[in-house]
Amino acid sequence: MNNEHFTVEEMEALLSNPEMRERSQHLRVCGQCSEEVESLSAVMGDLRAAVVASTEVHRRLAVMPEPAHRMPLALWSAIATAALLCAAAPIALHHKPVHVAVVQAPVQQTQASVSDDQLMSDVQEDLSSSVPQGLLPLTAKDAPTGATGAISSSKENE
Amino acid sequence: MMPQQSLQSGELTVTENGGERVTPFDDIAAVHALYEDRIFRFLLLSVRDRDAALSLTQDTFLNAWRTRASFRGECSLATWLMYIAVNLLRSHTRTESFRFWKRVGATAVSAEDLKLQLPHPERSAEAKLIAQSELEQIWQRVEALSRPQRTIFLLRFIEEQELAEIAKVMHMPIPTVKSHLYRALDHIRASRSTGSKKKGKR
Repeated sequence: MNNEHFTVEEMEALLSNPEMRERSQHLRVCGQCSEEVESLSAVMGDLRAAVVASTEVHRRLAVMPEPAHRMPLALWSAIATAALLCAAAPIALHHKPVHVAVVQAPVQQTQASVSDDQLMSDVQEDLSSSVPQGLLPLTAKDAPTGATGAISSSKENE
Repeated sequence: MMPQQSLQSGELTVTENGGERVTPFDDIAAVHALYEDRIFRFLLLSVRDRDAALSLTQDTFLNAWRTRASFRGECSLATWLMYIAVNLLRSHTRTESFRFWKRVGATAVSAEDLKLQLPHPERSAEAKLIAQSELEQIWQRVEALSRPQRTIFLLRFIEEQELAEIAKVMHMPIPTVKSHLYRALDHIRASRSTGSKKKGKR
């Protein structure tokens, strides 16, 4: 190798064969080429190691599904519990009209108490009146009926 | 069946067993265990989709087993498998080119992934940051390469394959492979020198 810097062909050969680097005279005298070969060699080594490690991770992920796909049981049980709670809540609320029926009972009692009062007042009236209702004299209510009848009969006679 | 121990060498030849040809692919499980990582890695970096890469990896081994009779031991197992993988990759990208480009980056290896996986034994925090920055920069450059340049660059510097093997895998003559490889490396070198000049200016 001459004193000119390495061509791409020489560089490729040096990167692929570490033994060639030791034998190269130019590398000993040219700092620029020596630095470039060393730097490229280091970064290629890092690249290779990183690619191998990274593709291994990808291979594992491709072969085995991701953990998120492997725990649907817990997820499904949580969803089922939530669904059950959602279904049970309206049913529990729907059972409240039983209490409404209990509330309606006092209304019936009120009606019953009103009728009892009426009955009691009727009895009181009956007891307070000295003459029974059937034996009471004709009231003014009956009189107009008789008068009109008399007038009509007198007109017929005329 | 090939004994599994004999596969540990990685380079196997076709043997005659009582007149019957036995290839390493007859014990496909052992071959799969040895080369799955490598084939998956190459396919993931090429197709940029891990599910598609896994599917293509399985197809590669299936095709290798189906065509095992045509393996004559003229190349290594890795080259033969890579050859099948490249063929599958070509047909995959041809038939699904639209969806492929749409999916790009979905589950691909990103610069962030690489930075997380950066080996940093006994490096100072500053050295680690510099290495991460350089790694990110070089990966962005690799991603920007044309498809043949990128594939050849990955085969050479990640899979550490010989130029003749790459030529066989890519169905290309060696000078064409060299041309793609040098252009890719030149592109990366140029970007690094530009980056260092910019840093120098600052």
